[in-house]
Amino acid sequence: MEHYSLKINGNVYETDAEPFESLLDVLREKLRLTGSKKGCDEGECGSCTVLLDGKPVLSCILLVSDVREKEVLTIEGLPQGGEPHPIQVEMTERGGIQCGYCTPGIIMSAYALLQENPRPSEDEIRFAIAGNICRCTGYSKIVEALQAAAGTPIR
Amino acid sequence: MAQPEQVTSAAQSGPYDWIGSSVPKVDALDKALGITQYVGDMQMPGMLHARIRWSGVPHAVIRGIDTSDAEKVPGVRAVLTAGDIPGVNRYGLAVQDQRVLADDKVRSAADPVALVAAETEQAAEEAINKIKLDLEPLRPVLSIEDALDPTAPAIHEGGNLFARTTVRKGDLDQGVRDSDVIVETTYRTHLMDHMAMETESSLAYMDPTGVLTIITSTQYPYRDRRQIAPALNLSMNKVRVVQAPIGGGFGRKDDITSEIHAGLLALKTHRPVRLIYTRQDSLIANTKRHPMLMKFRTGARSDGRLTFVDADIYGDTGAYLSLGAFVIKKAGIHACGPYDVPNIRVDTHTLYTNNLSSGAMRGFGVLQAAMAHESQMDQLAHRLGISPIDIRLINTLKPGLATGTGQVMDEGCGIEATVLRIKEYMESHDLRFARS
Amino acid sequence: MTPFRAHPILSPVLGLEGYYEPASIDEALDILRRGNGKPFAGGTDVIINLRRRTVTYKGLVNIKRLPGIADWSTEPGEGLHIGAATPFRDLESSPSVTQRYSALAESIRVIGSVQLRNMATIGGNLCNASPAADSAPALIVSKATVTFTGNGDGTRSCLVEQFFSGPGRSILDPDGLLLSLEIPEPESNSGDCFQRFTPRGALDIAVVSAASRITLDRSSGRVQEAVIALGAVAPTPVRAGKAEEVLVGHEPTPDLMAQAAKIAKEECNPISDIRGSASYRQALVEVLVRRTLEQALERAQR
Ligand SMILES: Cc1cc2nc3c(=O)[nH]c(=O)nc-3n(C[C@H](O)[C@H](O)[C@H](O)COP(=O)(O)OP(=O)(O)OC[C@H]3O[C@@H](n4cnc5c(N)ncnc54)[C@H](O)[C@@H]3O)c2cc1C
Ligand code: FES
Ligand code: FES
Repeated sequence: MEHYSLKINGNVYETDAEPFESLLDVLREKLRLTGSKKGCDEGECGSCTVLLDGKPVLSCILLVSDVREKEVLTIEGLPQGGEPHPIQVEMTERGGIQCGYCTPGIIMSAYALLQENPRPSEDEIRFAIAGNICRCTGYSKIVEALQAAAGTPIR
Repeated sequence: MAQPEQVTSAAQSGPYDWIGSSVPKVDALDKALGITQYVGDMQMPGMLHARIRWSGVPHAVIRGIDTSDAEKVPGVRAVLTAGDIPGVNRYGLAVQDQRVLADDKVRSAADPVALVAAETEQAAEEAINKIKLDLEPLRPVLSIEDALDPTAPAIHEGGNLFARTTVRKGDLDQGVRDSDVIVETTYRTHLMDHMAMETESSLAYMDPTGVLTIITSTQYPYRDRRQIAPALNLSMNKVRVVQAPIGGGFGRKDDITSEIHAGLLALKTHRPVRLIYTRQDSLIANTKRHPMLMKFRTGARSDGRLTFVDADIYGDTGAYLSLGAFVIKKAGIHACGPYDVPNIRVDTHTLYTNNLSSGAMRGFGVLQAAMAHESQMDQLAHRLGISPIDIRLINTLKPGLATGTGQVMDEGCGIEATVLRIKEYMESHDLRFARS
Repeated sequence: MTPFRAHPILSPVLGLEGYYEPASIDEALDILRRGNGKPFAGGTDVIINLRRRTVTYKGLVNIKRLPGIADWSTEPGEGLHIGAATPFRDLESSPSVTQRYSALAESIRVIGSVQLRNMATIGGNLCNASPAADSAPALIVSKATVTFTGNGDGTRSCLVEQFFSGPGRSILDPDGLLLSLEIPEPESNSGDCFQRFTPRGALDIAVVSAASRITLDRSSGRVQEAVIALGAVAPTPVRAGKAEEVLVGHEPTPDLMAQAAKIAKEECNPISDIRGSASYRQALVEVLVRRTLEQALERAQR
């Protein structure tokens, strides 16, 4: 076991973990930050997406040792001042959420996109969330919600 | 935390005004915030982690299961096999043909043969890999053709043909005589996984009053309880099934998945037990969409009017029925599609094989039938030189006409309007069919 | 930062015993030579294989914190230098890469997903040596070279094309390290293109991939050089030499490119597997070679 001080959502979390454990398992099982989901545990579905130094990554295949001295942002860290982030609001109001299991991952991918490109086109939105599988919605409502969050016209 | 604004307006005053308006789902904001607790997000003090050892072999006699090495893995608290089941080792949605843990025989590669509960997931994983199975392979039945072979071994007592259903209307011979063209084709569809984003999961514990409580990702808590209680030899009032938020089901969480296994381990260890399928477990073990073999003969007159449908639909329900007979029957009921067909002979055959079992999935057999009847329509259109749109418009069920099974359509029959909209769309976007 | 760490681990996760994070190349090579572990960068192949239990390793050697290994740089006219552990997404996000190296950029954009490309490295893609590795055909037509540590001391270099020796195998020694890639500056009278076929748009593995480069003779407009590389049709990424030959010295007409594509189809010898039958793959080769040649030509003429 190693000791890790992890910077997550602006806080420092102290935890023991083995270097081979995935960040996802540490977040969910040790730190009880369960917003990031485990859909496949092999990088295929995107439901575990978190931001590492501002970039979206797959926390299920990211070893906790690789997070040392870096900053993690998870879905729990998005609301500001107790208010949901606009992406969270639009996803809620525009039918972008059904079972909700893919939702945190989609929102994190979308958040990363908007940080980099505040007014993305529909194609850019679809490209950014192509690594997030949703089995319920068929994506249209998600794309609409993200367009609304970005303030771009909805087709 | 602030709730998002509700989509309300002054116009929404009467009790039915919600119909037709967009309303945010009540549980959506929690999901967006990541605070919804699915089963996998829950922990309990003293909770153990469980894993299942699958048979890995489609058809075999079980000669022995050696769990001694698995028991020695540090942190392992229970290794269970069929002999540890306190009640009847049988369950199933429609017929009780499934074993909680395989006893005499292995009927599919996804048969659970042993369970492990351990202090960590790694220990449980290590232990299931250390279980040694002594299996004597039997001739496997791996396709619809295999299942129809009279020399094939019977997977269950009673043989491999579980059920046959028929649809009859009019006079088939007359239909054939009335036909100017007949197309005959065999169609096959494949097995398909629902791939719900959340895998099957249960958290089971004994509550302080001695009620076994199972929090689970399920579509039917009461139907689950009906199957769990007898297997665990508990009376119904000693089993409580709590439906957790479910991360996608699409039919696959109709069946028992992880519930009995988690419950059994909790019962045996006196500890809370959480069983979360890995994606691989989920792909192996849960019900799928039925593969079907569909032999279709369809006739039409030169003006495009359908004259008859003559079809045999064979469905591979795998090693266990689940809802197979109902799904496959439904494929037969829908074999003529949304069309007015005067003469019909459709038989369906529900077959056991040693494949992974299939059950409910969005569409429930209708999709497979659609693939066949719509392909037949396209072929007829091509042969007759009619547009694929027109041949459908000629034959669509209209209010007052009846389906093959006698259901008379009323004003809710929208197929004609649907086809007309497609026609309009294609014309306005200058879209044409590739053939014809 | 903790430099060198070698310690036994009590309850092994993924069956591993040691985890190392060397701070210098020498230290890394020392750990590898002692047979203590498998190097990994993004881990997007290594960790998956461990999870699936298709392999076991004694330990893991994280190479990402080696000095310079994740750095890349480019100067106009000077080509591109890429540290082996550079994540794909870093390259994809840079106009100085995407505007000059079309085929490479096209190959990167289809790999996995955005999240995956923030982890997966270009060196890992090559060392993993999958016949379907998407960056390989593009790097081959870009005439990229790799630099790696050889037996004993010092480093060696070779063309990417010469790097692979079989499915999952390269000429890298088990205790070797890939250090960097160099891609020459593309000539102005040259253009390239990469395309692959997959049933899904993202998160899929190529059934067939192809990259083509055409360099035109400035005065005559004829093909001065043609390079065609194919993925997922042989045990390693391969060149379609005969198809290249018919193009050279001729005017690049649509007919000639179609002819070259047909030759590429005939000269490759793919296997049938779950992703596609041999004949389907061959049919795809013809289509993809024709399309990438056409696109490469258009870019060369710009
Ligand atoms: C969901 C998913 C989707 C994927 N999609 C694609 C795709 O579309 N196209 C594609 O080509 N690949 C794909 N891959 C495979 C993989 O992501 C790539 O091969 C990736 O480039 C590997 O890089 P890595 O840094 O993660 O490699 P690692 O997993 O770290 O290493 C891979 C191999 O290279 C060795 N290695 C790595 N770096 C070095 C070095 N510097 N010196 C010596 N040896 C080294 C390792 O020992 C190992 O054998 C996908 C993988 C996943 C999980
Ligand atoms: S759980 Fe990480 S990608 Fe699916
Ligand atoms: S909402 Fe269910 S998977 Fe996306």
